[in-house]
Amino acid sequence: MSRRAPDDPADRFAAEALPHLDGLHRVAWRLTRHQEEAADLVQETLLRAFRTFAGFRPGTDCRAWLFTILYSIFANRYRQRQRRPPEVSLQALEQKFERELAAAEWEDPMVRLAAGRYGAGEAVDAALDALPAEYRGAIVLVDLEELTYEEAAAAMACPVGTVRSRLARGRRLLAALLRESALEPRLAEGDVPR
Amino acid sequence: MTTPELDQHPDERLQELLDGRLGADDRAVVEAHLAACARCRRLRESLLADRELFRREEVPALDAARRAAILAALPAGVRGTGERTAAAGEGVAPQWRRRLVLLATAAAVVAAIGLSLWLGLRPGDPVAQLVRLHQVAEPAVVTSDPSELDEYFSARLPFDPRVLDLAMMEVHLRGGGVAPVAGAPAAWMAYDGPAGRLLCVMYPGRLEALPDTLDVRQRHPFVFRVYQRDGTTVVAWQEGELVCVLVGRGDPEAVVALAMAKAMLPASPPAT
Repeated sequence: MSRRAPDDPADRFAAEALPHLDGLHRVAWRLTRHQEEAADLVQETLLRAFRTFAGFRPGTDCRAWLFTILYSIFANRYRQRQRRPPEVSLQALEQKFERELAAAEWEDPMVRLAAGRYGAGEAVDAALDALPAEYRGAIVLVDLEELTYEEAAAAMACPVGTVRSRLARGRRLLAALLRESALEPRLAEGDVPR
Repeated sequence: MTTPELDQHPDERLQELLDGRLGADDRAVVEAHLAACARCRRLRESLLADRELFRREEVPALDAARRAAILAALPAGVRGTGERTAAAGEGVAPQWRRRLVLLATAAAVVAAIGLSLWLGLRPGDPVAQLVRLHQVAEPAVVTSDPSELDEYFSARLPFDPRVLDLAMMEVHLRGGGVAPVAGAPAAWMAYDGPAGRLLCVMYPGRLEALPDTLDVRQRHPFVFRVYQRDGTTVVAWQEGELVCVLVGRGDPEAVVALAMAKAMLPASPPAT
């Protein structure tokens, strides 16, 4: 028994694209970290996908095609809205992290993770919020959604080499941001500043 | 890979090592650098811990009200069928399961080909492939008899996988099949146990080709690599020319303990 593709475009769209609704929401939430924005992003993605569905080739990867649309909308919105940290600040953060990597004292991050000292909720939110959109996108698509570099490159409309370099720098920046936030709770609790 | 590249720190190559993208030669070069460079080892630890932290994060589900609002914004023709489809809730996974059910009602050969093609459409990280195999695979051979599964594999594979007997652990064989994993045909066996489905997979390859992980256990003479993905535990070890893997849900330590109990060196050829 085989499934005959429906002829009506609306039926085809419902059959091919709508089953990815929850997957799209998961990516949208990871990119925006906000329920309303994520839902809005998914809605805009599906509307745009429906308008351009004639350009989707049946039998190809619908999920990847939808991710491309979603990321394009996210990147455009985010570029307009984000107060991007100055490059100098990002470089300073990376340099600080490099000094920590080279320091004699180094606590195994997996030990910290197991002990719940590595960061949670707000720390993760803050770290991702501070990350420029292109790095956040690469990390969400590759690390969390497990796309290949090639699939992520298609979704982000950039070469594979760009995905590679965004991952390299994005992951380093994220590591630096999470280590920063792991130190801050002491200050929030009223401890004497270092 | 050239030597001057490694005079600095090969951060981009380290990313590719973590993502399982390097060939054997390049992998050996990067691992040699890691052995000599504390800075890169620490970076690797940090990156793996960060990835673990994000993968453990619970993503809030799309609530009913927002789902309804999204569907209501679509043209009415889509909405009518969409509400039935999208309300299934899990999105991608049920779609795969529906397709596999349709394939499985056809001839067993067609079902095996359909499964191979489906898994082949998702190249990349072998650990992700193994987790998906655990989620979606329907046995091509439904049997509780290991010898029947042995016969099935002998007819189809150029290597000799070992069908594990787990009955003493109250884990019972249900069947198995063949599927591509890490670019190679793999034998897989499905079991039912106290924590639900358990999969054992064997394929020709090298443990070192799997993505990096900080969770590495040793029980001489074996090294076990342990991965956690979406509540599923994947434990891999090397037996001769084969990579052997157990994939299961529930208590991760139970899956690890089972792997350690069942790992076995290939029998040596008799002395002449």
